[in-house]
Formats: sequence, C-alpha cells, structure tokens
Amino acid sequence: MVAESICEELITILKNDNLSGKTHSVFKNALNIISNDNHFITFITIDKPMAPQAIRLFGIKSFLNYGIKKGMKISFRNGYIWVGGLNIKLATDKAFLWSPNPIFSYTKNQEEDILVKLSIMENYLHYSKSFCLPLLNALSRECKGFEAFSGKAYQDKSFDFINDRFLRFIDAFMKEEDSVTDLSKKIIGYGIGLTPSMDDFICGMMVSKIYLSHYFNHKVDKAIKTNSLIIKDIDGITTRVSEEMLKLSSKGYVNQDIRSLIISLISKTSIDEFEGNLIKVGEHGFSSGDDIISGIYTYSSLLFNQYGGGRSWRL
Amino acid sequence: MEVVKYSILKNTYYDSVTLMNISKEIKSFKGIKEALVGMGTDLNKELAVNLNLSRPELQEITPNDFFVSVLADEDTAIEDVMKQVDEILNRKNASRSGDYMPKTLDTAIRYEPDSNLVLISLPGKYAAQEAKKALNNNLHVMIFSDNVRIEEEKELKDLAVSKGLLMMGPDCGTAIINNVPLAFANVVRKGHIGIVGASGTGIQEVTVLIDKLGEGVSQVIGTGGRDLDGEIGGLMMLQGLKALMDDPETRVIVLISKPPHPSVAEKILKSAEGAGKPIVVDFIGGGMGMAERYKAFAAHSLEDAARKAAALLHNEKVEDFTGFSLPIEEINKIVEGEAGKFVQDQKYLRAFYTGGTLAGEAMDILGKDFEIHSNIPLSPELKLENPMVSYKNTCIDFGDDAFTLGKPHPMIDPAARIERLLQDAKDDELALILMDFVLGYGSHRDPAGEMLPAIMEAKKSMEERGKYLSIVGYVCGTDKDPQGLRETENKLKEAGVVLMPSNAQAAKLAGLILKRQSKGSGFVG
Repeated sequence: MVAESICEELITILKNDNLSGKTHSVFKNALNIISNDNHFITFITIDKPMAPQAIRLFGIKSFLNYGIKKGMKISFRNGYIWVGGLNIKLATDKAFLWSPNPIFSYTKNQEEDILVKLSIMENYLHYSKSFCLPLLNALSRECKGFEAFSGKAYQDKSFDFINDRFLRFIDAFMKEEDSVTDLSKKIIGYGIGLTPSMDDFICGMMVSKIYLSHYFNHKVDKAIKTNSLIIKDIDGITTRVSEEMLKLSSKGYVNQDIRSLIISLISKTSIDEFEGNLIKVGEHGFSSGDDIISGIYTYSSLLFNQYGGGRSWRL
Repeated sequence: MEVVKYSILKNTYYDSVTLMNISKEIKSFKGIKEALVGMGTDLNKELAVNLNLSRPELQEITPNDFFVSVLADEDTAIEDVMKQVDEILNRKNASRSGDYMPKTLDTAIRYEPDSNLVLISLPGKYAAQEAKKALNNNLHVMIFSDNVRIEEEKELKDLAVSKGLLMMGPDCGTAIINNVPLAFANVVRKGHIGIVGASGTGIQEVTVLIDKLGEGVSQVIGTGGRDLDGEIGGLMMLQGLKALMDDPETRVIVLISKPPHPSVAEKILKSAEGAGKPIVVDFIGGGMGMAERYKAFAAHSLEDAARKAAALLHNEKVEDFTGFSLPIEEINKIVEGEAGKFVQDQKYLRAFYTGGTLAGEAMDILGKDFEIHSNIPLSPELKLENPMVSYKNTCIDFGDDAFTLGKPHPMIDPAARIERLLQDAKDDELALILMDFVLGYGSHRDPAGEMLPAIMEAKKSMEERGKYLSIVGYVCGTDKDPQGLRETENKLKEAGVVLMPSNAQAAKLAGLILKRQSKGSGFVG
C-alpha cells in the first residue's frame, strides 16, 4: 500500500526511526493511531479530504475490511509504516506533502457579497442536520441575524441544560474575555458522536476567528491567542479525537474541505463554488459537518455585526 | 415504577451516525421513557445528572467510554436494550461493507461512467445546480428534493426536453426504472403497464394494486407535483408519455395527477390520443369528461385506474369500480359493528395520512358528504387555521411542509403522527381515525409497529372515558415489500384496526361509519 498525501507536520515525526504506536479507533474511512510519544495520527481513505496529522492512502476503500483491531501495534520507519499484526507495509516516501496552515493568499470579497453567502449558509442550515439549531434558536432571542432560526419550538430538555452556558460562552468569546477558558469547559464535550456537536461548533467558531481576523486586518496572532484560551486545560474533558481537533483548529488547522469553505466565504469565489464547498463540509459525519458550518455561520454573522454593517450584535 | 438503567462499554468508539441511530431506536424501545447515549465526556455525564439519568458508576467513566442510560419501566431489562444496540451495530456493519461513496457528482460520474440516471436529494436550493450538471452530462435526473424554485424547474425541464432526457421532479417521491425502485417505491412485478404520474403515493397506490391484481409495471415515471401546473405545462408528463409510447414492453399507459391546469390537461390528453396504446387517466377529483372526450379511460379513483389498466391489458370489458371488494352484507356488518359502539356525542373523523395523494383522494371521496378541514384542503375555505390543531372533520397530510421542515418525511419517521393521534384522542367528539401505512423501500422499516403503542393508548384513553375509537386503515404495500404486507396487516388487525384493500375503499368505509353515526343511515345496498 502507498500513501498518497501526508500532512507536512508529520514528516519530522515519521523520521524518528524508533517510533511506534497503537491503533486507537477504526472506522470505514479513518484509522486513528496514538504514537508512544502521544501524537495522534490519522490514516484516511482517498475519498476523504486531507486533514491535519493525516496520511491519505491509495487503494483502501474501507479500513473495516482489513480486520484492524483497537490496540494493534504500528511501527513507523523511515519511508514506510508497518502494521505488524496484519503484515501490511505502507510506503510513505513518495507521498505529496500537504500543509495544514491557514491560507491567506486570496482576493478579499466585498462585505455585501459575504453577507449574501452568509444568507445562503443560513438557508442551508435551516434544513440541515445540525444539532446546534436549537442553540441558534436561543441566539435569535439575543441578537439580529438569526431570525431564520427563531420559528421553531425545541422541547428537548438537554437544550435547557446547555442554552444559558452557550450564550455566556458566545458573549465571552466575542468580547475576547479571559473567562472564555472556564466557560468553554462548561460546554466542550456536549453532544453525540466521536467529536461531540458542541466541539464541532467551537471548531467552526475558532477557524472563522482566524480567517476573519485576517479579513478585517486584525492581528491573527491575537485571534490564535484567544483561541488558545478556549483549549487551555481541556485534556480529558472530551474524546481524544475531539480534543485533537480542537487543539488543531485553534491554530486554524482544519481539513481541506473546511478550509476551502471558509476561504470561499471571504474571497472572490463564485456562489456555485461556495455552495459546492458548503455541501462537501455538510457531508462530514452525521451532523459534524453541519455543526462546523453552524460555528462558522455564527462567528461570521456576529463579527460582521461588530465590524461590518451587517447583523447587529446586541448581547 | 420507572428506574434508571445503564450500560457502559469501556474504550469503545462509535461515529455520530451510529450513535444517532442507536439513540433514536432506543427511545422507541418498549418500556423506555427517556434515553441518553454518548461518550463519557464531563458534559454528557453532567447532562445525565441533569436529566435524572445518572448513577454513581456513570460518573466514573472517561470520554473514551461509550454509555447508554435509560429511564425505563422496572421490568425492562437493560440486557434487552443492549441486545437491540448490538443489532443496530451489526446492521450498520453489514450495510457498510466498504462501498465507495463519491462525494460529488463529478467524482461519481468518473467512478461510474456507465451510469445514466442521477437521483438528487439535497436541500432544495442546491438541487437545481446539481441537476443542471447532470443534464449537461447527458444523464437522466430524478430530484427527490422539494423547495426548488418553479423557474428553475422550468429551465431544467426545457433543457431535458431539448436533450431527450427525463427530468423527474423536483419533489419526485417515486419511480421504478427498468425494475429498479427509486426513492419511495414498492416491490412490484415487472409487466406491461407503464405509469407517468405527478403524485408520489398516488403512483405507489396504483403500482401496488396492479401487483395485487396479478399484473406488473414496465416503467414508472414520476414528474414532480407541479409538472401539470400552467407554468411548467406538463413538460415531463409529455416526455414520459412519449417514452412509454416508444417502449415495446408497455402495452397500457396510466396517467396520474392531482387536478391539472385545464390547458395542460388538454395538451396531454391530445398527445395521449395518438399514443396507439390504451390510456387510463386519473386526474384525482376531476377531468373525467375531458379524458373521455379524448378517448382515454377516465378513472374514479386510484383503485379504479389500476383495475381498468389490468382489464385493458387482458382485453376485458372495462367497467367502473366505485364500490367494495367485500360483499355488501359484510360491509354493512362492519359499519354497524363500528358505529354501534359510539356514544352520542362522538361524531368527527380525523384522517391522518403520510401520503399526500392518498389524503387528497380520501378528501375527494369524503368531501361529497362531509366538510373536511385540512392543511391541504380541496377548497380554500376549508384550510385549517392551525395545522397542529384539528377542527371538526379534519384530514392531515403529514408530509406537508408544516410538518417536515427540518424533519424526516412521516413515511420515514412517524413521530408527528403518533403525537397527533394521542393529542386528538383527548377529544370527546372524536369518533373515527383513518390512516394509511405505506410500505416499500424508503419507508420506515415497521410503520405499523411504530404506530401500534399509540393506537392502543388512544383506544384505551377513549375507552376509559366511556367512548369507542374506531380506526380504519389501509396498508399500501405488497407481499414482496421488505416490511411484509401480511405481518403488517396482522399487527394492525390484532390492535382492532379495520383494514380495507385500497385507500378509496378505506375512505368510503369511514364515510359510511360516520354517516351511520350522524344520520343513522350509513349502509350500502
């Protein structure tokens, strides 16, 4: 088997000739590994978008077809990876290098065009599977720009539990207050799935913060610093996969579908391409993609209220 | 008494799709009142406490552990619940044996270059763009999505006609092409009756009844509900008609639609006149005179359309069917048996449909004797002010936007209909519930089983108040459907549901029972 692409951040790790690890979780399109020095590495199938800390493989349609079990030993060698229990060798020396860094070399879109795209996103979310719709419903009572989500009544008791915490977190995040560290811990890990819905939502918020900081000529470093407050001390409070996703997205490291979506929102990209990117992200997991889109939509809408003429922020 | 029961699977991960399915199925498990399923994150553990679903052992788990916690009747065994979870997981594993799932139309076309039809099910706003791409790649299209603008529909259909392609939809719920069922469709015999229809469950009803008559279908082409509106002009019904005229396997053609725009109806019937094949037309609730003028066989109901098509195929005499399959004496016995149990103030009907066309047909039949209020009324003055609240005689199409916005169609998830049945069972003036149960691909895997607890609870609730709740039903399905027609019917009969062999007969029987109650005369003879 051959690796098609490798996240460039893994190159240094893979050069360590004595590295080994164990399989952490196995899914159809992804195989997660934890190395003995605690790096989280993901093998993905060719139909998945490249992602931070990922190695994308040719020739595998499903990891479930190989009898890979949790805890199986993996050895990393210079130029290849060895799955001992299954006698499988993965060549890594000819793979493309993929950079997870945020891309800022785009032509900025005008604000009114971005607001049009946000309206498209709003319409998409209205019919989406996002678990966060009831939270957008709660936001609609606090600020403009979320009216589309105000019409429905949600009776799930779990939202009564989270609504108030969610609104306090949003308030602190938008105001870049230090309290966001404590407030994030009160919502991270909420929801169903390997990456709980709230974590996906926060991932969308953080990556938007980085890209929109650049769009508004704010300091990107400051955005990363605020994001770092969110992920401070989150070890062990959510799933390992989600913890990894949050830490990476706080630096703007997200998979290429999410990156394309956020860039197509703020750059001079056609509506067709933007909609295509929206659909691609929406296809991630059952609701993960839609929850990430909810986060991007929420942060972008609120920020355009603060710094643009768009939607009024009144919290 | 209800107690909290739980199960923990250490170091076990499931993706969100699996957890969603588990959560949904557990909640419908008998004896379960509340359920929480998830990974043992601090927040989920706190939520469990908040929902009174926690136990000290659950507070010890880590985010790497999967847990199920339920509030259940004391005699519900958590082992049985977990067995159910295992079944879901096994089902999922079996269904994801590694097939490649392309994420975009472009990659799908590259992956399957020989395919010639694209089924599109996206939020409506995006469906047109993908359909255009498909048509430009010379592929036939079926758009399952609704909420596509009518201007876009016209543009897409013009493009399809110019390329000699089919553009089925938008809002096209069913089709059977070369014996392959698409979206919601029943498993029916292959045969020589071709159907073009602008109505989802209307088409399903006709295909099912054709199958029950021992015949089969050649091609079943859906057009989408707006195709026969003035703006679209019946472009796809004409295209479908042409395809069936050219198809050597098709010997009889059935056209189905809700009442079309008169000029469109005329254009279609004119084309059909030259088909060289017998044509049966059911423009539900109208258009009979015009159909006959163009030498088509006009049908009184979907059942009548199926019967006429089968008769034409056999070169038999074509007769109207407007009655019942059972002998009159038996029908009268059922009417007396049901109406005889009502108390005086029970007088209203509630028709709760998952199929829009079936609901329309029922209103057309019942509307001759009763005012039927509805979210899809036959005339504007009968529109329900609030579709969530019934008024006197009410017919609800649960597939209408008011009930499906952000939710699955009721043929997939019957939750809204269950809730409404229980709500209306509190009404002392309620006498009769009329319901459909649509089987086949795409539908819920046990639509009757899912409704049964609510049916029994509704009957019991009225019984406790000294009332009788009559429930008349119809199962639209064949013995080859994955849910099993016989099993479905047996379950419903055991729960006291009176089942009829077609939707039209179910509606007629409901009307007779109500007339018997209100006027003392509801017999046939």
